[in-house]
Amino acid sequence: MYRGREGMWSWVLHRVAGVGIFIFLVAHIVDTSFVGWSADLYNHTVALYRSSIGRIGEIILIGAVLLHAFNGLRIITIDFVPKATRIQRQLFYVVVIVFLAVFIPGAYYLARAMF
Amino acid sequence: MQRKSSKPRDNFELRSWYFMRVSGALIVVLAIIHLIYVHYVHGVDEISAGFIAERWLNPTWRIFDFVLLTLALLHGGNGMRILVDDYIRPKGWRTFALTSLYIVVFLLFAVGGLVMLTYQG
Repeated sequence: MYRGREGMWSWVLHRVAGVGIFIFLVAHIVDTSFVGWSADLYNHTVALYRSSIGRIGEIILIGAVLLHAFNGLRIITIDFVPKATRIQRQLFYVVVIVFLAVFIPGAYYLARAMF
Repeated sequence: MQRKSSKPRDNFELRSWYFMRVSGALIVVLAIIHLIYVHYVHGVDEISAGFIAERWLNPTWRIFDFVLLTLALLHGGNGMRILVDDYIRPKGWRTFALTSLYIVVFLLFAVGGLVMLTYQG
């Protein structure tokens, strides 16, 4: 079995996060379009985002978006900057560090609303 | 797909690869603005039909939302197409998955776009 290193894990994370974001995108376009139908229907639907599961989902979503965004910028960099290909492994650690630096305070801020 | 010639008929996959990079870079900017504005400046406790009505009074937000909707659906839809190609091997299931994907993406674009461009408050 192929066991890659940082490159493989960033690729797996990128795909998993991408699928998760796509599933949420489908739900989010449907819930937003309810506003064109009835204000009541929309208000009842977005109230789901204020439940505990909704708030945990919001934090997971933001994590997935940040990871996919920062790793996507890494992919663009290694595709278009020839010298960056040689440091793709180091760039993955840059992605992880920047992700944690943004996600931890961002998640903490949102998590406070639950308590 | 088997072809006699080794030369690809068109460069669709190259254009798809390029599109993912260009749209991805744009979406990073738009999605982060969207997340900061909706989830941090306001937050889920403030989101209601009234919030949307007020926000869409400003045509710039409508255009912003429409561009984000379009890019996200094309980028996400193309990503899902690549995953279907990679993981769904039986021909019938692959055709079914791709057809369903294209229908869902088209319907979401039509419904979402129509609501955000015609909403009256």
